[in-house]
Amino acid sequence: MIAVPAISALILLESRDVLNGFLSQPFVTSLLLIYLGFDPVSMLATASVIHLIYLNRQPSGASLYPEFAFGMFIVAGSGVKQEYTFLTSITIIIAIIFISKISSHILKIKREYFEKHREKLMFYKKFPNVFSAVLFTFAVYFIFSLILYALLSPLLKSIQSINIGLSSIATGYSASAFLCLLLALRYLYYCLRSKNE
Amino acid sequence: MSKTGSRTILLLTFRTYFIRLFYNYNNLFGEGLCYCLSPLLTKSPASSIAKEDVIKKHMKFFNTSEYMSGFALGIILKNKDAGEDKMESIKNVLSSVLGSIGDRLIYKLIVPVIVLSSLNIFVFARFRPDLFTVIFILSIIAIFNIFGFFIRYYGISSGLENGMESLKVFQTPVYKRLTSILKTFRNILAVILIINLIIVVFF
Repeated sequence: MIAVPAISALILLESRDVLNGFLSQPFVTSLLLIYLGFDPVSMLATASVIHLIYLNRQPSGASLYPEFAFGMFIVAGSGVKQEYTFLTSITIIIAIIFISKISSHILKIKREYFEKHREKLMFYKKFPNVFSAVLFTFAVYFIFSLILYALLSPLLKSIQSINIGLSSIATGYSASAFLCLLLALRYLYYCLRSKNE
Repeated sequence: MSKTGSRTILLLTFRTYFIRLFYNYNNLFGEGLCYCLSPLLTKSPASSIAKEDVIKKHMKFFNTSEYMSGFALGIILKNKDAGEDKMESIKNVLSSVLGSIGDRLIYKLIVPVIVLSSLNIFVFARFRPDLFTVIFILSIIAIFNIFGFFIRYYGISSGLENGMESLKVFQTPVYKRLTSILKTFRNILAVILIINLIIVVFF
């Protein structure tokens, strides 16, 4: 109950605020989820789709950049541990896109709030202080993650139990692999088209 | 460089890992810059007065890429005794140049190479990670972080030694060749991934 929101908060902290060492990226965190007992195929296939969706996006502080690293971990971590059905696979991907977008708005609100109360939350004796800034940032992210986990967990678990009769034709894995193919083609087209690099 | 020892450069390098923590919509990296510069600029008996001076001088609009922030710190420290107008013009140049270099090098080339390599390994393994997959991912993360540390450390020491001249490293033929190789490699990895996925989906 606490592990997934706590790790999710750390992921958001690492990807947005400190270190930026790529430890929080889905291709790494999917391995952590596998270690926590989640289905390997579903995790790696979902991480691949998410990376390919956002590969041509550049993080920018001023714009509302989707926090997909956080979105991937909190959504996948709130879901079921067994192999995804076709419906779960699609739902998880849509949920990650949605949560990533929502997270960017939360981050904006958090920054604006911290700007207003910077003396209390980020400064010590009128000077930027790393300990208070990390502490309060983590607290905000953890509360946000906990709320998301409580909302997503029952929803995603109930979706897995719905049988739409496609399981023998298209599993979550093959749907994700096909989606990866389309997204990889789109990315290659983007790379070949853009000359100003 | 002669005045600033390797221990101080190391301390500044570690501080650059927190530069984004203070990012805000008023001065972007202005507060983060103050945090990074503070140990060197406040080495004075009257440190509270010196700290106020740092804030007054540097808590203004400043933009950078977190990976290239080492160059910014080094160049600003090299010119720490410059007048307010000169410092502003230096920071304006750094704000536009470093952000752009960081975005192009890291997010358009290095990150796609890392991600596409990892995804190729995932697809090769049919999304079933084995020991090789884990070792590959951990190695690629270690290499990226060593590079991240090196570029920060090198940026600070080069900036301290050469000032704005240190940015000329991004105009050298070696750098241009390196980016060209990375671009080609990234495109090849994308093609390999597509072929891999076609095999997985259709065969």
